[in-house]
Amino acid sequence: MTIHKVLIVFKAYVKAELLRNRGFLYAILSLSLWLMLFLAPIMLFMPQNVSKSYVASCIFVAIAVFLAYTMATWDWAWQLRWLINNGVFEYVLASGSSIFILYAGVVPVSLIWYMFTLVTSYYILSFTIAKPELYIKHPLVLVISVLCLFLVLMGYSMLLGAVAIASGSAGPILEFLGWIMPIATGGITPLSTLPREIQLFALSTPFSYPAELLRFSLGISRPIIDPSLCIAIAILYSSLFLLTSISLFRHQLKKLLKEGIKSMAMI
Amino acid sequence: MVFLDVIRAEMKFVYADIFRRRALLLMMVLWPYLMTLFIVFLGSTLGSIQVFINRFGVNPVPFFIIGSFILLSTLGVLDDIMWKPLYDEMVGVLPYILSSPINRILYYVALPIPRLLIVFLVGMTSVLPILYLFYGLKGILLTFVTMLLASFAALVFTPFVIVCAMLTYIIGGESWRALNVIRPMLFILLGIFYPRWLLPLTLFIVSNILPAAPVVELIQRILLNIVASQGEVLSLLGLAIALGFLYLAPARRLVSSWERRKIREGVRI
Repeated sequence: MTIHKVLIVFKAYVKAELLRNRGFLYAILSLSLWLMLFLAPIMLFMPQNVSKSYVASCIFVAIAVFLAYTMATWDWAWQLRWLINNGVFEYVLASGSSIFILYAGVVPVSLIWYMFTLVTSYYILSFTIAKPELYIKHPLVLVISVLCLFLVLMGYSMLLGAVAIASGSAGPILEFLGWIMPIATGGITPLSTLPREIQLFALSTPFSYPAELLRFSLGISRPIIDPSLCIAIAILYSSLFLLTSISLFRHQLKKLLKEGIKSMAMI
Repeated sequence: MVFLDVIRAEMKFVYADIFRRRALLLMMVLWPYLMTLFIVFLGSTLGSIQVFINRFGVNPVPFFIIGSFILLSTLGVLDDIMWKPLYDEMVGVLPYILSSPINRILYYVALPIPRLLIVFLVGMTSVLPILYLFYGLKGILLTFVTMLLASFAALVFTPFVIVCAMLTYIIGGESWRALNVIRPMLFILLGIFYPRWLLPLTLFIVSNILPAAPVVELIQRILLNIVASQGEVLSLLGLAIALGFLYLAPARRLVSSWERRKIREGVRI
């Protein structure tokens, strides 16, 4: 029964987000152009002697992490606000189904979209800068880093969602976080290239460890702490972060059932 | 008089919305800083600021803060004109607008003006402090020249944006998805972050159909101190004005054609 509900949500979102009005094609085109707009000026900083493929690889990982944050913010956390603004959230709650069924249906759609955007980004980089050199040097670390990144992002979206339904905070705040968080937590560039203060801040959050491991597994850079220690912290910290966020999210939902839904701005 | 009335009405509508939602206002102030931080941060960690300085002779921070400001001012025009009919249809006021006797070109030209005034204030909180920090008193003058030219670029861009929006509506229906593709494409062609004289030749040629492109180029040339002569300034401005006027007639025709189609089909409310 639960799987059936998840499938219904999945099908509905595939139709609405990817198939209707050629949404998928337009979204891919739009994303490619936005990426070109922000990536082209990066080339103005590049010395002649630096390998363009290396730069393209770094940018590719930066895009992968940035898009993952974007997905967690706008596909997962913002989903609750979208449901509230469209008057659907009450029905979801009244149906008696767990809200996590919604997530179980939406997450695969986001991941399909994410994979396609990564492929698109790869070709855009190949076209505008150079073909990214991506060699999997540590397959196990790659798997761990991707899983940890997923856990952290799920936790992040639960946390943002809980804050959004509790405070009625607006889209611009999420937008601000969406830009600042990947930069400040070492998602965009290796921690070794950041000032000491930002390194310390990044290490205090669960976000930096999976990103550092991801770059390490692809042979782009080494983490600033020992890789084995980084793996241990990544697994522990991301699991703990997800569990804490889920409890907070559940607590906010219970509160919302008692107090009712707060009014929210359209955007 | 009617024109001023429309501007006043739009002002009430836009300002009530912006000042009610302070988070949005705060984001407008922070946007130029965020975009500049993003590009300069990524550029300097993957490459070097010195390379940029050697290439252009200026620090990237003023260059990109100006670029971000131009993006915001252009976005004001693009969004107001392109999305307004969609928004009006969604909230159910499109039938009233279609049946009003106002001159359509004046109406669409009036739409972005209130937001442009807000963007002007955003320039005071972003471009002014950064340029003052880098260039001292000369930076203040540079700020006003930049803001004046950016506003001018936004205004001459208006007829082209109307043409773009109406063509999209007529060919592909009122699709916000298609508009989302047009927006970044126009920014690339305008050369906001990557000067258009560095674009591949084909893109550079295409960019010449955009009335705002010569003005954006002029702003960048002034900042980089590579304006050859007064004649070059005048020719770039002249080109922008000529292109702006060139799109007025098709803009009027396309608006009326789209409206006729809406009346024929009926408006969804």
